[in-house]
Amino acid sequence: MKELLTSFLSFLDPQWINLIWSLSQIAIVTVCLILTVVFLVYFERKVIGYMHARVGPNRVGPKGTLQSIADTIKLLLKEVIIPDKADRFFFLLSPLLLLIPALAAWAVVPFSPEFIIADINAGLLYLLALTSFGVYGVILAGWASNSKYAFLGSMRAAAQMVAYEIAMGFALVGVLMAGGSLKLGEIVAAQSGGVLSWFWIPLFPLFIVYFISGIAETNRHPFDLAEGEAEIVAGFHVEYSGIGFAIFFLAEYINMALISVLTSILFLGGWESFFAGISFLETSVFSFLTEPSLFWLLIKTLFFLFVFIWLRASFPRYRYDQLMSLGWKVLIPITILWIGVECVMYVMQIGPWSV
Amino acid sequence: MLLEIIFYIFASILICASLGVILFKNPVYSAVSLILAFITTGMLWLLLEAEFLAIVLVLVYVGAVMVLFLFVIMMLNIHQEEEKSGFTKIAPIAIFLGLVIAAELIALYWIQSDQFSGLESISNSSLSVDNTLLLGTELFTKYILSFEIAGFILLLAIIVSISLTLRTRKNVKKQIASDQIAADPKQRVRMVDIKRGGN
Repeated sequence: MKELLTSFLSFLDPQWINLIWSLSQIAIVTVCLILTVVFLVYFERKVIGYMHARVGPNRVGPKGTLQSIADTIKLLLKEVIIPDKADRFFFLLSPLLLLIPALAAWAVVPFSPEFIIADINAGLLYLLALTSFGVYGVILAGWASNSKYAFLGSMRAAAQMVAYEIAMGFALVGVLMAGGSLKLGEIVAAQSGGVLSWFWIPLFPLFIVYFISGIAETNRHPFDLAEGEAEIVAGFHVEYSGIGFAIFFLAEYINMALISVLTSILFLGGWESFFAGISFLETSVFSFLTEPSLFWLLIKTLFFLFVFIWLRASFPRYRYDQLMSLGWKVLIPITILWIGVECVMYVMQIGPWSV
Repeated sequence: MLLEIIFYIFASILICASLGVILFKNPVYSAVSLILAFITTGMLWLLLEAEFLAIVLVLVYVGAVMVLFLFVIMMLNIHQEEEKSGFTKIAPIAIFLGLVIAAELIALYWIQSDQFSGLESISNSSLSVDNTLLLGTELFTKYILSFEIAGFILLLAIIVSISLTLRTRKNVKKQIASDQIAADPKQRVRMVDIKRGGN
């Protein structure tokens, strides 16, 4: 692709071609993400519908597939209401403060061996920094709304994000020890091989802790205390209407997809195939099944997205003190303990990684 | 050339943000300016190819410290700072401290500028070197003792601050999960046969 672009625009400086190339990659990823979110909302409503023994959306388009598009158009056309005495500047800014880090984090996600927008040296740290940055959108939205419910929601979000970020960071420390690199591409490469050589087996507790704190970071059920519609109406975004609400919604679903894709990359081998390393498949006509490709990453990501929705349909919401004690007293000790275990395994040369 | 333009853009944003920290009357605006200042400092460090320090600055200060700052400011509900009453009292001390910091920086720059040339060559040569790895190796071999002491002091600070704020109140209705699980219906419910009275 890039060679084609280079030959097509050969009259330009190579610096400009690189810029155009990066910009087009960014555009492709962003458009795909937004389309993913549109159909993810439909998927969620359908799945939860069937789990509740309902049908779910079935009116707009064949089997209701265009429901989300209709909803989006409705949201975009609605009036944006800014509450009296709200802080206008932060009220308008905070949806973007949530959306921008959610999108920017995708820059370091390796989709396939060839397709990474920016394979930077400190990729894992970059992800951690950006996921923690999203909390400002939530806090400032709640504060700027000048509403008690919204404010309570944002206070809850702040405490929750700080607590679960630590567990998440420790889980990532385990991954970087096993992968031996902060580059996401190299972490996937360190897991090359079949299901048994992925990090989810030696790092199983960290895998579970990472996914749980990912759910908490995205404010999804059963950790959605920042929204908690039974207690504080809709939490931090209660005053938002129209496009402001739509952006919050978009950011939440993009973050969900990000956590799913990262769990697949860090613990389930990313683009590696499920069937890699099975010798009779590799020599037969089905050898294409053992090839690493984007397809496998998408399947794993879709599975975790389904788990997000599954949990939402299955569990009641945590109480605030239960949430805090789970984060501080259960998840963080587990991660610290397992990093110790991992150190011992590393020294004793048990496990799939080599020094 | 391009790098210099980017540097001056970030530097002017940094100066504006730092001025915002002290000039905004609303403390939330000040805190957000401080966040912007931290992020821009991180960008400047990225320009020096110190990506580890840049991202860690954003991660620690923006991701954790400033969240708690904002949390406290919002909880205290200070919407408008009172008129700068103590300004004239504090100003001489503040100006003095500012001058001391400026003098130190100038001294560092003018007197020891020959030592900085060495640093510059490191940052230029490290194009392909992973500076996270480099910093880690240095910290855990050459400077292991001071690193461990710093970590120990921080641990001490955590324990002390928790023990200062920890207080147990009596008569708190607290959920004890183990008691709930251990509860046995036989102890809780007594089945009683009630004689049916004739009517």
